[in-house]
Amino acid sequence: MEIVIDIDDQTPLFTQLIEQIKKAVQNESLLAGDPLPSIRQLAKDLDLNNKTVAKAYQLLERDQVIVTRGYRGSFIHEHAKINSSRDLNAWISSEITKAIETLKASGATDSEIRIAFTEAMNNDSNEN
Amino acid sequence: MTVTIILYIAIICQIYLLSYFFPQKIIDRINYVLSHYPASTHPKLYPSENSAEKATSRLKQFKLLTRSTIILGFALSLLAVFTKTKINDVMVFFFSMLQVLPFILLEISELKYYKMMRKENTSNKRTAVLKPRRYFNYISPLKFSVAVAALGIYIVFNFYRNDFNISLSGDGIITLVTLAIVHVYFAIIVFWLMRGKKINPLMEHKDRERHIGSVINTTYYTSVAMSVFLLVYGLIQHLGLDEWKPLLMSIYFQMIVFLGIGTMLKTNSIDKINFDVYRKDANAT
Repeated sequence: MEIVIDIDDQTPLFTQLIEQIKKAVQNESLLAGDPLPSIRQLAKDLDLNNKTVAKAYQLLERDQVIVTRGYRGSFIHEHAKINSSRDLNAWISSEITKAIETLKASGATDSEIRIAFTEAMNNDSNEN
Repeated sequence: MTVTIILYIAIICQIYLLSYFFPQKIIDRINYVLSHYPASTHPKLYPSENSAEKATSRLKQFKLLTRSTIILGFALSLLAVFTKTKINDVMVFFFSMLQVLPFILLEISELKYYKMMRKENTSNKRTAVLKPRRYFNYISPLKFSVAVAALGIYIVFNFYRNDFNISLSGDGIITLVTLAIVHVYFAIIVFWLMRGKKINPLMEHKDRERHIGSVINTTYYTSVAMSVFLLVYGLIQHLGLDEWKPLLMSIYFQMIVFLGIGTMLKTNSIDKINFDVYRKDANAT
């Protein structure tokens, strides 16, 4: 299974990686339990920073598309096919739209919503 | 007398194999690539305008050096016959190193060529295979354990010969340190190929896998041959059969080159390589 990264594409490199790995899982080029290359190997092959690949793997692990088993490396999660079809970005977008609609219906202005959102994000970042 | 005759036959074989047969195979191979995949149809194979000329010139130098070792080999052998000089293992060793030198120089210029290719590669597309590269993908654990066993047997034999007396100034310890250095060097090469950047940025993944496999097999065969050679060499010394030492040295070098370069040429044969990746309209890999 081969992946192609376009370094001039506007889509971030780690997103391209995530999308292609998910696509490979969906079309069954990668099956549950299949081993993935190490972060270092993939970064060297694609001439990318290790952190970029690590970020992609981290997000794939969060979405339960891959699973990391210590020194043995990363593998495709047993429920990867179902999990990779779940679009987290679309869900975030729909939840935020719903929240904005609720706030606007209560009379909040655009700038108030923006300020509140930024504050909430900042507070969350500080806590983390 | 019989040993001397066999030694001369071995040296003639060595001159033929190391200075003519394998160099000619390499020359034919590069000439085939230059004539069948020229810059007009495969521009990505030539990182600079004068790459083809440079390659031809390097090839001529390689041919000159290898042909010179043929003349030198025969001249030294005749000199030894007429002056009744006894050929020893040190002479065979240095002559063999001289024969191997053109191959090393060619390898260095190949690495420089790949460096230029990496520099000139401006493609925005990069590809990778979603499969981990592991040492045992290329070599079976059984084969690997044979190399470890051969090395182990030699180390035990070496200690036995020295009455299990480890002295830092002894020959045995020098050989062991040399062996360790060679194996660390092999490990670095293998690690660099498996985990490092692509040497040739345009090489197709299948070709890269085959290349890594052939290098791993070469290091494997060299390791086994080295252990066996040292074991037999020590045995000969132990039994006081010193007149066999130069013959053994010659056979060892022939084996190394036969297994090393021979394996490399066989597994990486031209018809298996995908040259379409070097076409103008080809996407980078």
